[in-house]
Amino acid sequence: MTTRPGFVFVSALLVLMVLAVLGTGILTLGAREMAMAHAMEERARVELAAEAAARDALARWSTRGHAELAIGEESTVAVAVPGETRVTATVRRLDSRLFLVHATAHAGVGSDAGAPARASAGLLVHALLPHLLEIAFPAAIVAEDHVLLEDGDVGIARRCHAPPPAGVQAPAVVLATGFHPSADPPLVAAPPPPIPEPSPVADPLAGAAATLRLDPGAFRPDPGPAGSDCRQHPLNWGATTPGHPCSELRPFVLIGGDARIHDGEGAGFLVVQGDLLIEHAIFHGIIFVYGHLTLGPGATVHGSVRGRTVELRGGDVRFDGCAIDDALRAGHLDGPFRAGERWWIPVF
Amino acid sequence: MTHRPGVASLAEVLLVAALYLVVLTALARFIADQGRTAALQGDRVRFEEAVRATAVILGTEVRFLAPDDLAALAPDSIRARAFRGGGMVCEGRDQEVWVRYRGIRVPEPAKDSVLLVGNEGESVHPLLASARSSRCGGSVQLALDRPAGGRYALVFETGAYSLSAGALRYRRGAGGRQPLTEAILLAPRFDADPGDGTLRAVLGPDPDSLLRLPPLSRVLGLGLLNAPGRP
Repeated sequence: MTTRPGFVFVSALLVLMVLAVLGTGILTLGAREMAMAHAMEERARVELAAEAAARDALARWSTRGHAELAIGEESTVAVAVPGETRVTATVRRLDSRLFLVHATAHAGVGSDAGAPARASAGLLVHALLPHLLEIAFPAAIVAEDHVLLEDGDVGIARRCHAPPPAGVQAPAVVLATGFHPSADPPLVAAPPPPIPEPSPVADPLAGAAATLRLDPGAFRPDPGPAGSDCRQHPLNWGATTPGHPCSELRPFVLIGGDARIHDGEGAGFLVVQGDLLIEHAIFHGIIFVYGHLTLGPGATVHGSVRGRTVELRGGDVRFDGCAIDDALRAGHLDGPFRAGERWWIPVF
Repeated sequence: MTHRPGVASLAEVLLVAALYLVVLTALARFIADQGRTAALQGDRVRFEEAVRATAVILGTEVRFLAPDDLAALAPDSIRARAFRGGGMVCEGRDQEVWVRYRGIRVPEPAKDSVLLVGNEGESVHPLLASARSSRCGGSVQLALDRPAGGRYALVFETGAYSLSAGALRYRRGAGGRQPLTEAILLAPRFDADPGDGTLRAVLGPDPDSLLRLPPLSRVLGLGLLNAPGRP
Protein backbone atom coordinates (compact mmCIF):
# COMPACT_ATOMS: atom_id res chain seq x y z
CA MET A 1 0.00 0.00 0.00
CA THR A 2 1.36 3.41 -0.87
CA THR A 3 0.90 6.68 1.03
CA ARG A 4 -0.29 9.43 -1.19
CA PRO A 5 -0.10 13.10 -0.37
CA GLY A 6 -3.50 14.81 0.24
CA PHE A 7 -4.84 17.93 1.78
CA VAL A 8 -8.23 16.86 3.15
CA PHE A 9 -6.80 15.99 6.52
CA VAL A 10 -4.76 19.19 6.69
CA SER A 11 -7.76 21.24 5.61
CA ALA A 12 -9.94 19.61 8.27
CA LEU A 13 -7.33 20.36 10.93
CA LEU A 14 -7.11 23.99 9.88
CA VAL A 15 -10.87 24.38 9.93
CA LEU A 16 -11.08 22.74 13.33
CA MET A 17 -8.38 25.05 14.64
CA VAL A 18 -10.22 28.13 13.41
CA LEU A 19 -13.45 26.87 14.92
CA ALA A 20 -11.70 26.06 18.18
CA VAL A 21 -10.28 29.58 18.41
CA LEU A 22 -13.68 31.12 17.71
CA GLY A 23 -15.41 28.78 20.12
CA THR A 24 -12.89 29.44 22.85
CA GLY A 25 -13.31 33.17 22.39
CA ILE A 26 -17.07 32.95 22.65
CA LEU A 27 -16.87 30.70 25.71
CA THR A 28 -14.39 33.07 27.35
CA LEU A 29 -16.65 36.01 26.68
CA GLY A 30 -19.58 34.06 28.08
CA ALA A 31 -17.68 33.16 31.23
CA ARG A 32 -16.59 36.76 31.64
CA GLU A 33 -20.18 37.90 31.20
CA MET A 34 -21.27 35.43 33.87
CA ALA A 35 -18.63 36.67 36.29
CA MET A 36 -19.56 40.29 35.69
CA ALA A 37 -23.26 39.56 36.06
CA HIS A 38 -22.53 37.76 39.31
CA ALA A 39 -20.47 40.70 40.56
CA MET A 40 -23.26 43.12 39.64
CA GLU A 41 -25.77 40.92 41.43
CA GLU A 42 -23.59 40.83 44.54
CA ARG A 43 -23.15 44.56 44.42
CA ALA A 44 -26.89 45.16 44.14
CA ARG A 45 -27.50 42.70 46.97
CA VAL A 46 -25.10 44.34 49.41
CA GLU A 47 -26.35 47.82 48.53
CA LEU A 48 -29.91 46.77 49.23
CA ALA A 49 -28.82 44.97 52.39
CA ALA A 50 -27.04 48.08 53.68
CA GLU A 51 -30.14 50.17 53.04
CA ALA A 52 -32.32 47.53 54.66
CA ALA A 53 -30.04 47.45 57.71
CA ALA A 54 -30.28 51.23 58.07
CA ARG A 55 -34.06 51.02 57.82
CA ASP A 56 -34.12 48.21 60.36
CA ALA A 57 -32.12 50.37 62.76
CA LEU A 58 -34.75 53.06 62.29
CA ALA A 59 -37.57 50.63 62.91
CA ARG A 60 -35.98 49.82 66.27
CA TRP A 61 -35.13 53.44 67.03
CA SER A 62 -35.62 54.91 70.47
CA THR A 63 -34.09 58.32 71.06
CA ARG A 64 -33.78 57.50 74.76
CA GLY A 65 -31.66 54.51 73.82
CA HIS A 66 -29.05 56.84 72.30
CA ALA A 67 -29.46 59.79 74.64
CA GLU A 68 -26.38 58.85 76.66
CA LEU A 69 -24.03 59.05 73.68
CA ALA A 70 -21.70 62.03 73.77
CA ILE A 71 -21.25 64.00 70.58
CA GLY A 72 -18.88 62.02 68.40
CA GLU A 73 -19.48 58.73 70.21
CA GLU A 74 -21.03 55.75 68.53
CA SER A 75 -22.62 52.51 69.58
CA THR A 76 -23.44 49.33 67.72
CA VAL A 77 -27.08 48.52 67.19
CA ALA A 78 -28.62 45.17 66.41
CA VAL A 79 -30.02 44.84 62.92
CA ALA A 80 -31.16 41.90 60.87
CA VAL A 81 -31.85 41.50 57.19
CA PRO A 82 -32.88 38.33 55.37
CA GLY A 83 -30.34 36.39 53.36
CA GLU A 84 -26.70 35.50 53.80
CA THR A 85 -25.38 39.02 53.61
CA ARG A 86 -23.62 40.12 56.80
CA VAL A 87 -24.76 43.49 58.05
CA THR A 88 -23.62 45.76 60.84
CA ALA A 89 -24.93 49.11 61.96
CA THR A 90 -23.79 51.82 64.31
CA VAL A 91 -25.42 54.98 65.61
CA ARG A 92 -23.13 57.98 66.04
CA ARG A 93 -24.20 61.19 67.68
CA LEU A 94 -23.19 64.00 65.38
CA ASP A 95 -24.80 66.89 67.22
CA SER A 96 -27.10 67.30 70.19
CA ARG A 97 -30.13 66.38 68.10
CA LEU A 98 -28.53 64.80 65.08
CA PHE A 99 -27.51 61.16 64.75
CA LEU A 100 -25.96 59.15 61.95
CA VAL A 101 -26.99 55.55 61.32
CA HIS A 102 -24.11 53.89 59.48
CA ALA A 103 -24.99 50.51 58.01
CA THR A 104 -22.53 48.25 56.21
CA ALA A 105 -23.18 45.03 54.33
CA HIS A 106 -20.66 42.41 53.21
CA ALA A 107 -21.27 39.59 50.77
CA GLY A 108 -20.47 36.19 52.23
CA VAL A 109 -17.67 35.18 49.90
CA GLY A 110 -15.64 36.88 47.24
CA SER A 111 -15.78 36.09 43.57
CA ASP A 112 -12.85 34.84 41.53
CA ALA A 113 -12.25 38.41 40.47
CA GLY A 114 -11.69 39.88 43.89
CA ALA A 115 -12.79 40.60 47.42
CA PRO A 116 -16.36 40.20 48.64
CA ALA A 117 -18.67 43.02 47.68
CA ARG A 118 -19.23 45.63 50.36
CA ALA A 119 -21.60 48.57 50.56
CA SER A 120 -22.41 51.23 53.13
CA ALA A 121 -25.26 53.62 53.63
CA GLY A 122 -25.63 56.53 56.00
CA LEU A 123 -28.86 57.91 57.34
CA LEU A 124 -29.20 61.18 59.22
CA VAL A 125 -31.73 61.09 62.02
CA HIS A 126 -33.15 64.10 63.78
CA ALA A 127 -34.43 63.51 67.31
CA LEU A 128 -36.64 65.56 69.57
CA LEU A 129 -35.03 64.41 72.82
CA PRO A 130 -38.35 64.38 74.71
CA HIS A 131 -36.68 63.39 77.97
CA LEU A 132 -35.12 66.86 78.13
CA LEU A 133 -38.63 68.26 78.31
CA GLU A 134 -39.00 66.76 81.77
CA ILE A 135 -37.36 69.86 83.20
CA ALA A 136 -40.25 71.98 81.93
CA PHE A 137 -42.74 70.14 84.16
CA PRO A 138 -41.26 70.23 87.66
CA ALA A 139 -44.54 70.82 89.48
CA ALA A 140 -48.17 69.86 89.45
CA ILE A 141 -49.03 73.28 88.03
CA VAL A 142 -46.59 75.40 86.06
CA ALA A 143 -47.56 78.79 84.68
CA GLU A 144 -45.62 81.26 82.59
CA ASP A 145 -47.59 84.11 84.10
CA HIS A 146 -49.85 83.65 87.12
CA VAL A 147 -52.02 81.01 88.75
CA LEU A 148 -55.51 81.57 90.12
CA LEU A 149 -56.27 79.12 92.91
CA GLU A 150 -59.92 79.58 93.67
CA ASP A 151 -61.06 76.12 94.58
CA GLY A 152 -59.67 72.64 94.27
CA ASP A 153 -56.73 70.57 95.42
CA VAL A 154 -53.07 70.42 94.44
CA GLY A 155 -50.53 67.93 95.69
CA ILE A 156 -48.02 65.20 94.94
CA ALA A 157 -49.05 61.70 93.94
CA ARG A 158 -45.74 60.06 93.02
CA ARG A 159 -42.21 61.20 92.39
CA CYS A 160 -41.45 58.03 90.47
CA HIS A 161 -37.82 58.02 89.31
CA ALA A 162 -37.91 61.47 87.79
CA PRO A 163 -34.94 63.37 89.17
CA PRO A 164 -35.63 66.90 90.37
CA PRO A 165 -34.61 69.47 87.79
CA ALA A 166 -31.48 71.37 88.71
CA GLY A 167 -32.09 74.59 90.56
CA VAL A 168 -35.64 73.76 91.53
CA GLN A 169 -36.85 72.61 94.92
CA ALA A 170 -38.62 69.60 93.63
CA PRO A 171 -41.19 68.53 93.45
CA ALA A 172 -42.79 71.90 93.73
CA VAL A 173 -46.53 71.87 93.80
CA VAL A 174 -47.15 75.07 91.92
CA LEU A 175 -44.57 77.05 90.07
CA ALA A 176 -45.54 80.43 88.70
CA THR A 177 -44.48 84.04 88.71
CA GLY A 178 -47.54 85.16 90.65
CA PHE A 179 -50.67 83.98 92.43
CA HIS A 180 -54.19 85.27 92.71
CA PRO A 181 -55.01 85.30 95.51
CA SER A 182 -51.71 85.14 97.33
CA ALA A 183 -50.96 81.72 98.69
CA ASP A 184 -48.78 80.17 101.33
CA PRO A 185 -45.99 77.68 100.79
CA PRO A 186 -45.54 75.09 99.33
CA LEU A 187 -46.38 77.32 96.40
CA VAL A 188 -43.19 78.61 94.82
CA ALA A 189 -43.26 82.03 93.31
CA ALA A 190 -40.49 81.70 90.81
CA PRO A 191 -40.19 81.92 87.07
CA PRO A 192 -40.92 78.49 85.64
CA PRO A 193 -38.04 76.78 83.88
CA PRO A 194 -37.92 77.56 80.19
CA ILE A 195 -38.96 74.89 77.78
CA PRO A 196 -35.73 73.46 76.38
CA GLU A 197 -35.19 73.74 72.69
CA PRO A 198 -35.98 71.84 70.66
CA SER A 199 -39.15 70.77 72.35
CA PRO A 200 -41.96 68.68 71.01
CA VAL A 201 -44.32 71.51 71.77
CA ALA A 202 -42.43 74.19 69.88
CA ASP A 203 -40.43 72.30 67.28
CA PRO A 204 -41.92 72.24 63.79
CA LEU A 205 -41.59 68.49 64.00
CA ALA A 206 -44.21 68.35 66.74
CA GLY A 207 -46.96 67.95 64.18
CA ALA A 208 -45.27 64.88 62.79
CA ALA A 209 -44.77 63.44 66.26
CA ALA A 210 -48.43 63.79 67.19
CA THR A 211 -50.55 60.69 67.24
CA LEU A 212 -53.73 62.71 66.86
CA ARG A 213 -54.02 66.18 65.33
CA LEU A 214 -57.43 67.62 66.10
CA ASP A 215 -59.25 70.81 65.21
CA PRO A 216 -60.48 73.12 67.98
CA GLY A 217 -63.73 72.09 69.62
CA ALA A 218 -65.33 70.18 72.46
CA PHE A 219 -64.17 66.68 73.27
CA ARG A 220 -65.26 63.78 75.40
CA PRO A 221 -62.37 61.32 75.24
CA ASP A 222 -63.47 57.75 75.70
CA PRO A 223 -61.25 54.64 75.54
CA GLY A 224 -64.29 52.39 75.24
CA PRO A 225 -65.60 49.66 77.50
CA ALA A 226 -63.17 47.63 79.56
CA GLY A 227 -64.32 44.30 78.14
CA SER A 228 -63.49 45.05 74.51
CA ASP A 229 -60.32 45.45 72.48
CA CYS A 230 -58.49 48.75 72.48
CA ARG A 231 -59.60 50.42 69.25
CA GLN A 232 -57.86 53.49 67.94
CA HIS A 233 -60.06 56.44 67.07
CA PRO A 234 -59.72 60.24 67.44
CA LEU A 235 -61.40 60.26 70.84
CA ASN A 236 -59.52 57.33 72.29
CA TRP A 237 -56.77 59.05 74.28
CA GLY A 238 -55.97 56.00 76.37
CA ALA A 239 -57.34 54.77 79.67
CA THR A 240 -56.40 55.72 83.21
CA THR A 241 -57.74 52.54 84.82
CA PRO A 242 -55.16 49.76 85.31
CA GLY A 243 -56.14 46.61 83.45
CA HIS A 244 -58.17 48.43 80.83
CA PRO A 245 -57.27 47.30 77.29
CA CYS A 246 -56.18 50.88 76.51
CA SER A 247 -54.21 51.39 79.73
CA GLU A 248 -50.94 51.20 77.74
CA LEU A 249 -52.10 53.62 75.09
CA ARG A 250 -50.33 56.95 75.50
CA PRO A 251 -51.03 59.19 72.52
CA PHE A 252 -49.59 62.59 71.78
CA VAL A 253 -52.73 64.68 71.11
CA LEU A 254 -52.27 68.05 69.41
CA ILE A 255 -55.30 70.36 69.28
CA GLY A 256 -54.88 73.29 66.94
CA GLY A 257 -56.80 75.92 68.93
CA ASP A 258 -59.24 76.40 71.81
CA ALA A 259 -60.67 73.25 73.32
CA ARG A 260 -63.10 72.11 75.99
CA ILE A 261 -62.93 68.68 77.53
CA HIS A 262 -66.05 67.68 79.33
CA ASP A 263 -66.39 64.27 80.88
CA GLY A 264 -64.34 61.27 79.81
CA GLU A 265 -60.74 60.22 80.39
CA GLY A 266 -57.42 60.21 78.65
CA ALA A 267 -53.67 59.86 79.11
CA GLY A 268 -50.43 60.78 77.43
CA PHE A 269 -49.26 64.16 76.17
CA LEU A 270 -51.90 66.77 75.39
CA VAL A 271 -50.88 70.00 73.67
CA VAL A 272 -53.51 72.69 73.09
CA GLN A 273 -52.54 75.58 70.83
CA GLY A 274 -55.14 77.87 72.44
CA ASP A 275 -57.16 77.93 75.67
CA LEU A 276 -58.40 74.80 77.41
CA LEU A 277 -61.23 74.15 79.85
CA ILE A 278 -61.48 70.76 81.55
CA GLU A 279 -64.51 69.67 83.56
CA HIS A 280 -65.46 66.29 84.96
CA ALA A 281 -62.66 64.52 83.16
CA ILE A 282 -59.60 62.53 84.24
CA PHE A 283 -56.22 62.85 82.55
CA HIS A 284 -52.90 61.13 83.33
CA GLY A 285 -49.82 62.69 81.84
CA ILE A 286 -48.81 66.14 80.64
CA ILE A 287 -51.13 68.93 79.56
CA PHE A 288 -49.41 71.85 77.85
CA VAL A 289 -51.60 74.79 76.93
CA TYR A 290 -50.37 77.74 74.88
CA GLY A 291 -52.97 80.06 76.44
CA HIS A 292 -55.23 79.90 79.47
CA LEU A 293 -55.93 76.62 81.25
CA THR A 294 -58.99 76.22 83.46
CA LEU A 295 -59.42 73.15 85.63
CA GLY A 296 -63.08 73.18 86.54
CA PRO A 297 -65.18 70.96 88.80
CA GLY A 298 -64.42 67.28 88.53
CA ALA A 299 -61.22 67.79 86.54
CA THR A 300 -58.52 65.42 87.80
CA VAL A 301 -54.99 65.44 86.42
CA HIS A 302 -52.17 63.14 87.49
CA GLY A 303 -48.90 64.38 86.10
CA SER A 304 -48.31 68.03 85.35
CA VAL A 305 -50.09 70.90 83.66
CA ARG A 306 -48.49 73.97 82.16
CA GLY A 307 -49.99 77.05 80.57
CA ARG A 308 -49.50 80.78 80.19
CA THR A 309 -52.03 81.22 83.00
CA VAL A 310 -53.68 78.46 85.00
CA GLU A 311 -56.96 78.70 86.88
CA LEU A 312 -58.02 76.10 89.42
CA ARG A 313 -61.78 76.19 89.89
CA GLY A 314 -62.68 72.96 91.57
CA GLY A 315 -60.15 70.74 89.87
CA ASP A 316 -57.60 68.36 91.38
CA VAL A 317 -53.99 68.25 90.16
CA ARG A 318 -51.43 65.77 91.47
CA PHE A 319 -47.78 65.82 90.46
CA ASP A 320 -46.98 62.31 89.18
CA GLY A 321 -43.45 61.61 87.93
CA CYS A 322 -44.40 58.26 86.43
CA ALA A 323 -47.26 59.74 84.46
CA ILE A 324 -44.89 62.45 83.18
CA ASP A 325 -42.35 59.80 82.23
CA ASP A 326 -45.01 57.86 80.31
CA ALA A 327 -46.21 61.01 78.60
CA LEU A 328 -42.74 61.79 77.31
CA ARG A 329 -42.84 58.50 75.43
CA ALA A 330 -46.23 59.31 73.93
CA GLY A 331 -46.87 59.16 70.24
CA HIS A 332 -43.75 59.45 68.13
CA LEU A 333 -41.91 61.76 70.51
CA ASP A 334 -39.22 59.14 70.99
CA GLY A 335 -39.03 58.35 67.30
CA PRO A 336 -36.67 59.27 64.47
CA PHE A 337 -37.30 62.23 62.18
CA ARG A 338 -35.88 63.28 58.89
CA ALA A 339 -33.12 65.79 59.36
CA GLY A 340 -34.40 67.76 56.36
CA GLU A 341 -34.34 67.21 52.65
CA ARG A 342 -31.14 65.24 53.08
CA TRP A 343 -31.35 62.11 55.15
CA TRP A 344 -29.43 59.51 53.15
CA ILE A 345 -25.75 60.38 52.86
CA PRO A 346 -22.74 58.54 51.45
CA VAL A 347 -20.36 57.13 54.02
CA PHE A 348 -16.86 56.12 53.10
CA MET B 1 -10.75 0.71 -23.85
CA THR B 2 -8.41 0.07 -21.03
CA HIS B 3 -8.41 1.70 -17.58
CA ARG B 4 -5.07 2.69 -16.22
CA PRO B 5 -4.81 2.73 -12.48
CA GLY B 6 -3.89 6.17 -10.89
CA VAL B 7 -5.10 8.22 -13.73
CA ALA B 8 -8.46 9.93 -13.34
CA SER B 9 -10.70 10.75 -16.11
CA LEU B 10 -11.51 14.38 -16.83
CA ALA B 11 -15.04 13.87 -15.56
CA GLU B 12 -13.75 12.51 -12.24
CA VAL B 13 -11.39 15.44 -11.83
CA LEU B 14 -14.12 17.92 -12.57
CA LEU B 15 -16.47 16.20 -10.14
CA VAL B 16 -13.91 16.19 -7.36
CA ALA B 17 -13.02 19.81 -8.02
CA ALA B 18 -16.68 20.77 -7.92
CA LEU B 19 -17.22 18.91 -4.66
CA TYR B 20 -14.15 20.53 -3.13
CA LEU B 21 -15.44 23.90 -4.29
CA VAL B 22 -18.78 23.32 -2.64
CA VAL B 23 -17.24 22.11 0.59
CA LEU B 24 -14.67 24.89 0.74
CA THR B 25 -17.30 27.53 -0.02
CA ALA B 26 -19.51 26.15 2.74
CA LEU B 27 -16.57 26.12 5.12
CA ALA B 28 -15.60 29.67 4.21
CA ARG B 29 -19.15 30.89 4.76
CA PHE B 30 -19.37 29.00 8.01
CA ILE B 31 -16.13 30.52 9.25
CA ALA B 32 -17.20 33.97 8.11
CA ASP B 33 -20.54 33.55 9.89
CA GLN B 34 -18.75 32.41 12.99
CA GLY B 35 -16.50 35.42 12.76
CA ARG B 36 -19.46 37.73 12.40
CA THR B 37 -21.19 36.03 15.34
CA ALA B 38 -18.08 36.46 17.44
CA ALA B 39 -17.83 40.09 16.40
CA LEU B 40 -21.48 40.68 17.23
CA GLN B 41 -21.03 38.92 20.54
CA GLY B 42 -17.99 41.06 21.21
CA ASP B 43 -19.96 44.21 20.40
CA ARG B 44 -22.76 43.08 22.64
CA VAL B 45 -20.33 42.37 25.47
CA ARG B 46 -18.71 45.77 25.03
CA PHE B 47 -22.12 47.42 24.94
CA GLU B 48 -23.19 45.60 28.08
CA GLU B 49 -19.95 46.55 29.76
CA ALA B 50 -20.68 50.17 28.93
CA VAL B 51 -24.22 49.79 30.28
CA ARG B 52 -22.91 48.19 33.47
CA ALA B 53 -20.28 50.85 33.96
CA THR B 54 -22.89 53.55 33.42
CA ALA B 55 -25.24 51.85 35.87
CA VAL B 56 -22.54 51.58 38.53
CA ILE B 57 -21.17 55.10 38.09
CA LEU B 58 -24.47 56.93 37.80
CA GLY B 59 -26.17 54.67 40.34
CA THR B 60 -23.46 55.38 42.90
CA GLU B 61 -23.46 59.12 42.24
CA VAL B 62 -27.22 59.55 42.20
CA ARG B 63 -28.00 57.17 45.06
CA PHE B 64 -27.34 59.63 47.86
CA LEU B 65 -28.35 62.86 46.16
CA ALA B 66 -30.74 65.17 47.94
CA PRO B 67 -32.99 67.35 45.79
CA ASP B 68 -30.69 70.35 46.21
CA ASP B 69 -27.70 68.38 44.93
CA LEU B 70 -29.03 68.09 41.41
CA ALA B 71 -28.20 71.41 39.76
CA ALA B 72 -29.42 70.77 36.23
CA LEU B 73 -30.97 68.04 34.14
CA ALA B 74 -30.91 68.04 30.35
CA PRO B 75 -31.46 65.25 27.82
CA ASP B 76 -27.73 64.90 27.32
CA SER B 77 -26.39 65.68 30.80
CA ILE B 78 -26.97 66.00 34.51
CA ARG B 79 -25.04 68.42 36.69
CA ALA B 80 -24.82 67.43 40.32
CA ARG B 81 -22.71 67.24 43.42
CA ALA B 82 -20.37 64.29 43.34
CA PHE B 83 -19.38 63.32 46.89
CA ARG B 84 -15.78 62.30 47.29
CA GLY B 85 -15.45 61.84 51.05
CA GLY B 86 -16.55 63.00 54.44
CA GLY B 87 -16.37 62.56 58.15
CA MET B 88 -17.17 63.81 61.59
CA VAL B 89 -16.00 67.31 62.47
CA CYS B 90 -13.91 66.75 65.58
CA GLU B 91 -12.85 70.35 66.11
CA GLY B 92 -13.66 73.75 64.69
CA ARG B 93 -12.08 77.17 65.07
CA ASP B 94 -13.12 80.23 63.12
CA GLN B 95 -13.07 79.26 59.48
CA GLU B 96 -11.20 76.00 59.99
CA VAL B 97 -12.54 72.57 60.79
CA TRP B 98 -10.74 69.32 61.51
CA VAL B 99 -12.45 66.32 60.03
CA ARG B 100 -11.86 62.60 60.59
CA TYR B 101 -11.88 62.20 56.87
CA ARG B 102 -12.47 59.09 54.79
CA GLY B 103 -13.06 59.15 51.10
CA ILE B 104 -12.20 57.94 47.66
CA ARG B 105 -9.56 60.67 47.37
CA VAL B 106 -8.10 63.47 49.46
CA PRO B 107 -9.85 66.87 49.42
CA GLU B 108 -8.56 69.18 46.69
CA PRO B 109 -9.16 72.91 47.15
CA ALA B 110 -8.96 73.47 43.42
CA LYS B 111 -12.07 71.49 42.76
CA ASP B 112 -13.92 70.74 46.00
CA SER B 113 -16.52 72.32 48.22
CA VAL B 114 -17.68 71.27 51.67
CA LEU B 115 -21.20 70.62 52.86
CA LEU B 116 -21.58 70.82 56.63
CA VAL B 117 -24.54 69.19 58.37
CA GLY B 118 -25.68 69.98 61.90
CA ASN B 119 -28.66 70.49 64.14
CA GLU B 120 -29.80 73.55 62.30
CA GLY B 121 -29.50 72.18 58.81
CA GLU B 122 -26.68 72.36 56.33
CA SER B 123 -24.39 74.95 54.77
CA VAL B 124 -22.12 74.86 51.74
CA HIS B 125 -18.64 76.36 51.68
CA PRO B 126 -15.90 76.62 49.09
CA LEU B 127 -12.81 74.73 50.21
CA LEU B 128 -9.93 77.19 50.44
CA ALA B 129 -7.20 74.90 51.72
CA SER B 130 -6.70 71.38 52.94
CA ALA B 131 -3.92 69.72 54.92
CA ARG B 132 -3.31 66.60 56.92
CA SER B 133 -3.27 67.15 60.67
CA SER B 134 -2.40 65.17 63.76
CA ARG B 135 -5.33 66.59 65.72
CA CYS B 136 -8.12 64.29 66.81
CA GLY B 137 -5.79 61.33 66.36
CA GLY B 138 -5.36 62.03 62.65
CA SER B 139 -7.59 64.29 60.66
CA VAL B 140 -7.78 66.59 57.70
CA GLN B 141 -7.79 70.32 58.28
CA LEU B 142 -10.16 72.17 55.98
CA ALA B 143 -10.13 75.94 55.60
CA LEU B 144 -13.52 77.33 54.63
CA ASP B 145 -14.73 80.72 53.50
CA ARG B 146 -16.49 81.57 56.78
CA PRO B 147 -17.07 80.13 60.24
CA ALA B 148 -19.46 77.22 60.23
CA GLY B 149 -21.11 75.14 62.89
CA GLY B 150 -21.91 71.82 61.27
CA ARG B 151 -20.77 68.57 62.84
CA TYR B 152 -20.48 66.34 59.78
CA ALA B 153 -18.60 67.33 56.64
CA LEU B 154 -19.14 66.02 53.14
CA VAL B 155 -16.57 66.93 50.51
CA PHE B 156 -17.88 67.17 46.98
CA GLU B 157 -17.07 68.46 43.56
CA THR B 158 -19.69 69.73 41.16
CA GLY B 159 -19.53 67.87 37.90
CA ALA B 160 -21.60 67.02 34.87
CA TYR B 161 -22.23 63.53 33.61
CA SER B 162 -23.19 63.55 29.97
CA LEU B 163 -24.43 60.92 27.59
CA SER B 164 -23.09 62.06 24.25
CA ALA B 165 -21.34 60.64 21.19
CA GLY B 166 -22.25 57.14 22.32
CA ALA B 167 -20.53 57.24 25.70
CA LEU B 168 -20.91 58.28 29.30
CA ARG B 169 -18.62 61.22 29.93
CA TYR B 170 -17.70 63.29 32.94
CA ARG B 171 -16.81 66.92 33.01
CA ARG B 172 -15.76 68.82 36.09
CA GLY B 173 -16.18 72.56 35.98
CA ALA B 174 -15.18 73.90 32.59
CA GLY B 175 -12.95 70.96 31.75
CA GLY B 176 -13.33 68.66 28.78
CA ARG B 177 -15.68 65.73 28.76
CA GLN B 178 -13.68 62.66 29.62
CA PRO B 179 -15.22 59.41 28.37
CA LEU B 180 -15.87 56.87 31.10
CA THR B 181 -17.13 54.16 28.79
CA GLU B 182 -16.45 53.03 25.26
CA ALA B 183 -18.37 55.00 22.64
CA ILE B 184 -20.76 52.20 21.89
CA LEU B 185 -24.05 53.33 23.46
CA LEU B 186 -26.91 53.84 21.01
CA ALA B 187 -28.35 57.35 21.02
CA PRO B 188 -28.08 57.61 24.80
CA ARG B 189 -29.96 60.31 26.71
CA PHE B 190 -31.39 61.23 30.09
CA ASP B 191 -35.10 61.59 30.69
CA ALA B 192 -37.66 61.40 33.46
CA ASP B 193 -40.13 58.59 33.96
CA PRO B 194 -43.48 59.97 32.82
CA GLY B 195 -45.18 58.09 35.67
CA ASP B 196 -43.23 59.06 38.76
CA GLY B 197 -40.60 61.47 37.47
CA THR B 198 -37.69 59.19 38.32
CA LEU B 199 -34.45 60.06 36.53
CA ARG B 200 -33.66 57.56 33.78
CA ALA B 201 -30.71 56.92 31.50
CA VAL B 202 -31.73 55.53 28.12
CA LEU B 203 -28.66 53.79 26.72
CA GLY B 204 -30.15 51.95 23.74
CA PRO B 205 -33.35 50.75 22.14
CA ASP B 206 -33.41 47.55 24.18
CA PRO B 207 -35.62 47.69 27.32
CA ASP B 208 -32.68 46.24 29.26
CA SER B 209 -30.74 49.38 28.41
CA LEU B 210 -33.11 51.61 30.34
CA LEU B 211 -31.61 52.50 33.72
CA ARG B 212 -33.83 53.89 36.45
CA LEU B 213 -31.83 56.03 38.84
CA PRO B 214 -34.02 56.79 41.84
CA PRO B 215 -32.20 58.62 44.61
CA LEU B 216 -32.77 57.09 48.02
CA SER B 217 -34.25 60.39 49.16
CA ARG B 218 -37.29 59.57 47.06
CA VAL B 219 -37.84 56.35 48.94
CA LEU B 220 -39.54 56.78 52.28
CA GLY B 221 -37.72 55.30 55.22
CA LEU B 222 -39.68 52.98 57.45
CA GLY B 223 -40.16 54.60 60.80
CA LEU B 224 -38.58 57.85 59.67
CA LEU B 225 -41.14 60.51 60.32
CA ASN B 226 -41.68 63.28 57.89
CA ALA B 227 -42.07 66.84 59.04
CA PRO B 228 -45.13 68.73 57.80
CA GLY B 229 -44.60 70.41 54.49
CA ARG B 230 -41.65 68.28 53.54
CA PRO B 231 -41.91 65.88 50.60
